Amino acid sequence: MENEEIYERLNTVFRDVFDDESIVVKPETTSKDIEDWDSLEHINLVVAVEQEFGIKFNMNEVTTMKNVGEMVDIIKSRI
Amino acid sequence: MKKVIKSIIFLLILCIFFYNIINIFWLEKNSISYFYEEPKNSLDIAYIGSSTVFCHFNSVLAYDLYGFTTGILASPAQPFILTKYVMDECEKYQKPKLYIIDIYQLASELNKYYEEVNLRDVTDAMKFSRNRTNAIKAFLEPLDLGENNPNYKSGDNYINYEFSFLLYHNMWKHLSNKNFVGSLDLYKGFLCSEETVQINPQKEYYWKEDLVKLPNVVEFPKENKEFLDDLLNYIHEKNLNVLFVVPPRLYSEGRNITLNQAIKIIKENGFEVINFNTLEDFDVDYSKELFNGSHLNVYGATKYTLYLSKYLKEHYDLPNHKGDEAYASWENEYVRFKNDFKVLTKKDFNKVLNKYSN
Amino acid sequence: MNLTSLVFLLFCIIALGIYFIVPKKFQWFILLISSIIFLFWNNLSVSTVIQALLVLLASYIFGILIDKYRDNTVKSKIFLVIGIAIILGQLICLKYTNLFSITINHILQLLHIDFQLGLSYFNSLVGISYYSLIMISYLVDIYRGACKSQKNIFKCALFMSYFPILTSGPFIRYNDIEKDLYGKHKFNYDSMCRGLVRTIWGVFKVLVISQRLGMFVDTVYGDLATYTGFYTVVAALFFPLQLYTNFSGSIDIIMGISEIIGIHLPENFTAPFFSKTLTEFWRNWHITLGAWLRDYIFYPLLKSNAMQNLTKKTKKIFGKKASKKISLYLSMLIMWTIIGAWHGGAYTFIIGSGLLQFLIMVLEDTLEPLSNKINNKLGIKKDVFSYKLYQIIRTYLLFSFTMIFFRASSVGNAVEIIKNMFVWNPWVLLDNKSIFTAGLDIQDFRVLIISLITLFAVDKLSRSGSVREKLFKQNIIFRWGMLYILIFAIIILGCYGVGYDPAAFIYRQF
Repeated sequence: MENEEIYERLNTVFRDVFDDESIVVKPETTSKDIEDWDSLEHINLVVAVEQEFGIKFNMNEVTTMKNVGEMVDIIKSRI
Repeated sequence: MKKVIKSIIFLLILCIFFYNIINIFWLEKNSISYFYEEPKNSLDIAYIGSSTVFCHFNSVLAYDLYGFTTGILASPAQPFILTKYVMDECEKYQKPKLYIIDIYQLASELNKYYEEVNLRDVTDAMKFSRNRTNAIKAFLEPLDLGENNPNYKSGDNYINYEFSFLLYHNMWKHLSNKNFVGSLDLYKGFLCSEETVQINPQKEYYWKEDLVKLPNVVEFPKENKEFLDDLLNYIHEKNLNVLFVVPPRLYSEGRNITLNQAIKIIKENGFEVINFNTLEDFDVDYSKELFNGSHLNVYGATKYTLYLSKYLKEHYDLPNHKGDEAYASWENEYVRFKNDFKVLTKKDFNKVLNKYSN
Repeated sequence: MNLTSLVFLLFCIIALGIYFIVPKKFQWFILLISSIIFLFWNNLSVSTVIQALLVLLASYIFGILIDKYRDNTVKSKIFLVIGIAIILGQLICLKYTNLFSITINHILQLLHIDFQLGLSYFNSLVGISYYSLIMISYLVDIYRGACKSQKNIFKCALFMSYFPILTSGPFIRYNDIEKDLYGKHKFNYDSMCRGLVRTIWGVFKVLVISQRLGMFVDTVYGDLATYTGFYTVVAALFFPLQLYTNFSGSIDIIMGISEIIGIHLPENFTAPFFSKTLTEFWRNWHITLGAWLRDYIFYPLLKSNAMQNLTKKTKKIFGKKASKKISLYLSMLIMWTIIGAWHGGAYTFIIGSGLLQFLIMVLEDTLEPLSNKINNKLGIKKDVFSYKLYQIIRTYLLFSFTMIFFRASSVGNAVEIIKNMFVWNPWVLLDNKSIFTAGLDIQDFRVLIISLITLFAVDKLSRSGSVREKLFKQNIIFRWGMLYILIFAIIILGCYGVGYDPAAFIYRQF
């Protein structure tokens, strides 16, 4: 899958989880950039991404991923 | 290298600050602290013991009468076990010609009368030295410092006594100008008290002559006997000149008996004991000369000092420093004493002196 | 060993001295010896040695097994579960059996059954609450592939018992500390200076501020009959500060020592009392505990199939938003009950540092949209100083309230204290006399005020970067001056040594 498509689908997920239609994610995007993205929402986000792409993150990845770019790398390796 | 030097300088300045600060944090100076301020070898006599010493013996009066200097190395309820160490400390700086030891405390049971303050009055006043460490250890060793002791406090351990700053840093709340500027050894250690209390000797205890004849019905407290033997050995070893004194006081029967035994042991060792309770030419006027049940007031002290200093002059080879510039502080303190006496009692001390001299 | 005791000071000087003298490849071994001495100080017995060995062997052996069978999820999971069960089991047995007994006894009493379980008191090791969780995280991290197992049992033992951490944490992760812990460290003068400054600051917080606050709090809470109304209110407001300065001060000492050695530990406190909500507060208070619970309980719980299924089911009934909240709050409830219990095996801890925190945070979350609406309608601005100040004060008050339970000797005692606060006696604060009779006199209060202002200033500064770095930029006279002031403040004003006022001597009779 191409990067462009992944980021497209990610945008949909993010907008849905955080209820904000204006979100556009980039590789450098971190939890500091999105207001409601705290440790509580993080899991909801992860689960939603898992469902969207039909993959599973392991716990280590969940707790250590630092930005959207890392998330995308993992997605690409799983598909 | 530069860093090592920096560290050393930092620590050095820290130590200098610390040393200076420690000297500010003290509670009360007593005659033992002032002892260090006397010029070396200027004390002819060292008088050691508990409160009966500094209440009864007017050292500046004695100086005025006969010209000899007496260092008062006494503190309230000074435990007898510390006598040896006080003497040792004295020997380091003074080498007096005579030691007078008041043996009243020999009648106190160690554990019953254990109080931290009694130790601190002595050891907190002493300078850091091996002697001081030994004194602390000697005091703590025979004590039951556990919860069985009614005076038990959880801070009672060797460290807190050795490093008394651990306690005294709390004095930051009570600092006064005295702490910074220093204070005087008033009347060279004599406690002047002009209050009078009426005592009816028939109701209280007093020295009983005939008890001397009784067999030893009361055991001399074991530790006290050990302390006494230890002290006598020490005196023999160092070949010191010692006079023992039993102060004029109202005694309970038990104390009476214990002290009689002590007197016996001391005499057997070849030392002189003056028992002020059995002298023919010395009597306390219980209606005028006590300020509380157990101590003479300034009038009683005048009587006592006159008697004792005369005895000392007659029986010991003591110098006369009167007129010597180096001993001016003793003259000054006597003058101060007389002035303060006048302010306190509105009487002229010379008149009092005359009365007692006759 | 108390972190602010002379014994500990001597211990560190000797341990660190030897550490930097020996050949660097033996340094970690010196740390191990020091840690063992610290662990068993005044507490060496057959039972304590067995306790330590149990956790060590469980972690070491199962760590290696999980690592070996990493590709076989079933086997490695079994080893993980057994390992955790052993460690958790010993923790529960040693710390929580009495809680169970007391609870069962209450139930028996309610049912009028005339039987009571006996209580037993075990001698557990210092640090058990820390190293148990740390070793569990070690096993889980191996299972998750975040780190490899430590094949050297002595090195494993060092990770479990690294001495500065035993009294107060922080919670370390094997991955983060492996390199530093076993590495070779050259003595670094700058690290020593920075570490010392941090340690001294910590000692100041503990001995000058925390102990002093404690004297007031202990007096008031120890005599509820005499001290009521505003005394109790002030004590309740003092206690969080007492706890903070004690805890963060200990952490400063721990971090300072580790910094001198060359070991970097995660921060535990970032000026928490400037937080505007209790939720934010817990991101700045005892950070490593929150991180441990988040990574090992909260996330696994939220992500678990059970929780996800629950979300799906409740989504159908209550809608998307509500279903998310339900799973969230349920996971939070479980997490906070554990946090409460971790603080101690008594209901006061479970309620005070657990359930009440949960309750307030849920309220904050659910009431936020409502409060925003009200603010909008009333024209109240949220990004102004006055509003932020209100939020900070509100958070502090809420936290103080929860801490009443934390500090109380029992739930009944906590209720008594709260009732006590409703006595109306404002003169106690105004008559310039009464407030100084509850364990602290007016001079102690002066010292408290000055040191609290200093603490406030330092914490405020810390939010904009390391205070130490700012200090080290200044000229040497200022730097040394500040240090000397701190050191002598500790020596003179510190609440240590024999507990009573020497001036009492003045009034003795002889």
